[in-house]
Amino acid sequence: MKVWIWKEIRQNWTWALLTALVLGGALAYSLMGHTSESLCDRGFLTVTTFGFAFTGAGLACLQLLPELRRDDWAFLIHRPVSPWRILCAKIAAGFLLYGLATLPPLACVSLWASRPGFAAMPFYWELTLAPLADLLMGIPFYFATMLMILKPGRWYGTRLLSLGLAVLVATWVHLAPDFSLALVLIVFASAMLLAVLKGVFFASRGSRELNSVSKAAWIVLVFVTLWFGGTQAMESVFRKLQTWNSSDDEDFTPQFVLENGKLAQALPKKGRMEIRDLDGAWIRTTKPLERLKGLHDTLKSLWESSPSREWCTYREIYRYCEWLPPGDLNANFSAYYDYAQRRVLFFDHDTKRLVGAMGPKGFVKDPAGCSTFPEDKRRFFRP
Amino acid sequence: MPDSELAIETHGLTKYFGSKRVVDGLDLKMPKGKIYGFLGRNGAGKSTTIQMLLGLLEPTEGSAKILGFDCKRLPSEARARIGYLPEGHPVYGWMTVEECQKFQRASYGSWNEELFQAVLDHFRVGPRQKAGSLSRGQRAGLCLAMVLAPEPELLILDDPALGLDPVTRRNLLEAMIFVTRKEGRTVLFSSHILADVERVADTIWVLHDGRLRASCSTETFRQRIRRVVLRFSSSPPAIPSIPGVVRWRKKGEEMWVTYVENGHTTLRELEQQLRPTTIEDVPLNLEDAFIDYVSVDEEDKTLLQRRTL
Repeated sequence: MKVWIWKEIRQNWTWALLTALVLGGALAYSLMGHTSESLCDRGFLTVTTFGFAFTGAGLACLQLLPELRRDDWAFLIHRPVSPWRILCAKIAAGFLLYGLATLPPLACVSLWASRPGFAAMPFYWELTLAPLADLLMGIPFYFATMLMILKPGRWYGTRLLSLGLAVLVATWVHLAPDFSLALVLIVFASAMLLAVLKGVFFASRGSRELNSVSKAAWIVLVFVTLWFGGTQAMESVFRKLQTWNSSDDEDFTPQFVLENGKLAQALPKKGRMEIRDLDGAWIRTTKPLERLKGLHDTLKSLWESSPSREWCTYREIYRYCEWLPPGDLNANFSAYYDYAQRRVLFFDHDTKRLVGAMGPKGFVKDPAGCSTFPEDKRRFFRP
Repeated sequence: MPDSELAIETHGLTKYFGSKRVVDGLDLKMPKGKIYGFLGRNGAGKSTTIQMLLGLLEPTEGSAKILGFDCKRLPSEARARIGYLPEGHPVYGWMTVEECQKFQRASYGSWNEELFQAVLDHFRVGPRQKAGSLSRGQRAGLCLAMVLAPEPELLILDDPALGLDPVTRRNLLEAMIFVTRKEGRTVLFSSHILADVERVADTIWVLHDGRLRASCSTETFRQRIRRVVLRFSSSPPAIPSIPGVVRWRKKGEEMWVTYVENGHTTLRELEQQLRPTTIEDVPLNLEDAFIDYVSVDEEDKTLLQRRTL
């Protein structure tokens, strides 16, 4: 087995290294310009989503395509070694290469983003869960591509089904509220794809019949991909049709602002901003972008209205903290309410470093000595 | 452990690719300790048959056994006893010869290092050379060394001389003959080069359009495929349907006819029905015999249906 892993690594390590460099560059570049949401920045997560998926798929191609010619395949397979061991060695080497291509860039970028002074906002290690989920999602893409290459099909649609499942699960991983659920989805997809892949590899690229486990896994895979993929696609189309003529206002997620020392919702309505309390009762209508004064006073009442983390997925920074719009637009600081610490953290715009914290007892320069708000009592409604 | 006096045994082995029948009802029997040549044109079904024998392709119909094992479920121990050299001499070009050896050796329980080195020396292949930088002949030598070193009981070579110049081909055959004759191994090798087959094989299988057309010794094959020149005083007449005739050509007042010798009946029929002025027997070597036997023009297809050696 060792010699097989060695062979695969020797064959492809340069590609893995090159991918690591390219991915590292792309991740760093995407993060450099958009630091507003740290590792949960949409641009950064777009790079991780596509970058890791393409890396997984590309690696599968590199490992299989050169050996796909019938004679090369025979040379690979006709040995006194079980096909399962050959496949295991390929996959083990594939994982190592994938790790080499993806882990160092992600680790470096995460370390870089965690440095104080990187962005004028708090950093949480939980923010790495989103790119980590994308990284793990590369594994189903790796298996799906392998399956697409190896499984014979009368038409390309059959071959693309495995990739369809990977895409579908990637969508679910993006929508999953928690990392643990994303992990379950990734494990499910990987297990299904691996079960079929094992059968196809055993059956010498499908030139023999699949075993019953692989057949069953293939049926599940086809069902899940076609049924859920189809319904999801239909739903998207209908939603698009429904919102074709509606104004953007109705589809707008409310912003939270400080209104007379209390948190309130700001909803755009016909070019103006409607301020409502957290129960939805109208307070007033203002011009858009008007900021509310009296930040200091309202912070004291934050404990009453701490935003819920339940409506944010693990891919959003607002699961961990809430940005508080400053009363003064020219303010040279950013304020974030940290759910875990239950205090407001202030970051200087110039140095991008933490300059102080605020609790119920007021502002202190040393966050360690800052008092904390009581347990969250009130939850926002986030549509 | 299954054992059999037969190295290869098939019953009605058939393979379809889509609706195309590539191998058609092969019944083969190959005793141990013999060298068999597998002949046929491109697309005749030789490689497909070999792949089915090795369990790399599943037959659509029929069954096959190799060293007594069912080809559909060849265990690792059976694979260890079967050496297979695929067409095109596949090696990993980025590996050095030394690495190729290490890689191959890791898969097999037994390894005759002396034999491996002897074959490499025969082809002047150095251990530090990259497999990708080897000449075609050297690469063939390396592949042969890798296949022979585990000392398999049965050796299957799929067109081993493909793309090699005559000298290298001779070298390859010499190496193959030396090793296999000495050890009394069973060999099945497919080839397009009849001279090679003639030198090495005890028996030949001729495959045409997926069907077995001949299974006999090279000598028998050569003796039974005959060619005669029939001369006429005027333009030769159209040839009537005569059993055994495999090919005919008109050249002026001559007609060249190739037929399968069948107790002189075909020649007698030709003589009686066409009434040529003279008949001249033209000696055929194996290559000519094979070409006439399997090079079928469209108009000759009906003739092909009637002959099997």
